[in-house]
Amino acid sequence: MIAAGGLSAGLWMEPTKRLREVEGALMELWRSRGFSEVVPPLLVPEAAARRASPEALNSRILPVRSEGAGPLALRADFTSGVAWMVSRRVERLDGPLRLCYSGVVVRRPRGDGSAGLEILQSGCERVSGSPGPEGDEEILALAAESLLSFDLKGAVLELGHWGLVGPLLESVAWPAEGKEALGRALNAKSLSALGGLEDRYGATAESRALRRLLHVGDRPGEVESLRPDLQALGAWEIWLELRNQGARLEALFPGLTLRLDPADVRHWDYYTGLTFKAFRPGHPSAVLSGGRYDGLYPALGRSFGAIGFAVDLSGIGPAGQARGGAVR
Amino acid sequence: MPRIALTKGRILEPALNWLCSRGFQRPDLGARALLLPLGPGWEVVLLKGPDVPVFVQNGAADLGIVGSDVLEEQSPDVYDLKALGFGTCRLSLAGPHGEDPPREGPLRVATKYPRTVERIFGESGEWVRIIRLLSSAELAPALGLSDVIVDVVDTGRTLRENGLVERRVLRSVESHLVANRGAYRFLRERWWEDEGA
Repeated sequence: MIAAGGLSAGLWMEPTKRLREVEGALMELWRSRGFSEVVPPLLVPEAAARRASPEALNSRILPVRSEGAGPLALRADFTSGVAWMVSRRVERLDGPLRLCYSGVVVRRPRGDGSAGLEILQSGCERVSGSPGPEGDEEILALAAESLLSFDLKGAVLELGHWGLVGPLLESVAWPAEGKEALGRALNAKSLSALGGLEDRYGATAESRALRRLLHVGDRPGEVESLRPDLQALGAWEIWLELRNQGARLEALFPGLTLRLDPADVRHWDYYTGLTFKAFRPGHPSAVLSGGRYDGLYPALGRSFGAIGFAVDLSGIGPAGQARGGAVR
Repeated sequence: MPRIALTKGRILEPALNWLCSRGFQRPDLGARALLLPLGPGWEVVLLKGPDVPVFVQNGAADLGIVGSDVLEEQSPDVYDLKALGFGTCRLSLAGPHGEDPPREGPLRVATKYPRTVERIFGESGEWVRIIRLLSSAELAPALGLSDVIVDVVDTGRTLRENGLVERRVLRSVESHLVANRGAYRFLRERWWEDEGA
């Protein structure tokens, strides 16, 4: 297995061979589903990279010294680079644009100032002419299929939705720094941090609802108890649709282990709809992660909507050989 | 085997007591080993406090028990599952007895918590120069390295022994249970949760 997040020491022959097999299997699958490969830039203008990244990723962008080219940064994710390319080449979309990519992203490690962390990713983006959930089912099914293409024992796919937590986070009447701290507390599933913030800024109906949502986050069966809260927000329908989406996915992929996470607040300032991520035993972070981000293209001057996901290739191996050598 | 990282030192004993109250067996600390069976089916690794989030974030431990001071300083990418009610103390500003002598520059603060101090003084707008230390911050004012220190204070004895007084409590500190984001999904039994919670 490639050490989690660790490419800085380079990859020797056998791990490289395994990496290329995994990468090749994914790209073959995606190409067979109509996705075309692109190579987004490795060096991007720093300001543009920061504008196009979720807040949590902003602090991990690694600037690069350059003479005469202005402040640059190494790409910290692919999505912003793909969006930058699309927004410069495409003015109007009559049908969806399906793109895939593979390569290295570089991030500043958490808790450390300088050295970069190289992460190998492959991923897909589906860009459509207008925002909205069109294409969610297709991308979610492709994510499930990608996951099931490898023999990842015990892996689970989790579904969430911005609409269950985002409106609550945005409407809580706290100052900006309080809201940011609230987002961090929920991202850490920290009821005690949430309580501390309520002490500081004052408990509100929204913070209490978030507390209840966080409490049942692990127990989707108990979400029913939050029905009045979610109905008041107009989010009950979102929960029902998420549940149905999960059921349809399970019917399509009987081998898939699926969970719903109603309290997923990852990148709540970035995602705008469906979110999903996959984990496997023994890997410290998500092996696959994605969601709908309809706010990015309008910020780049295009009224497009988009959904996509990326696979952390270090999370797929050593058992990550394509099943039977063939991708369905 | 699932692994829990514990902090060596004063919070080790209450942490082990808490784990025993949840059905685990007390490990034999006499062997001086750092990796010990905790039974049933768990093991414990003993670390310095600042290393606990590092082990947990990177999956070398599934769970960890660590002070909220360390969590605030490091902002690790882990789940903060529970405040445990033990290991309580405070993060305080301390300095020599009496009035500070007049100074023209920023307040020099020696600390093991540079990010936390930067955040706290940034919010209050006070002009400070942070001097990052790894240990023995309480010596810094007496040796002219800093005007004050920010450090954890329990009984205040160490401060008194070094001629310092606690001037301002900045944070309450207590031990927290944290989890690796990936491992959390696969820990089926949530033994840390309180009944009826």
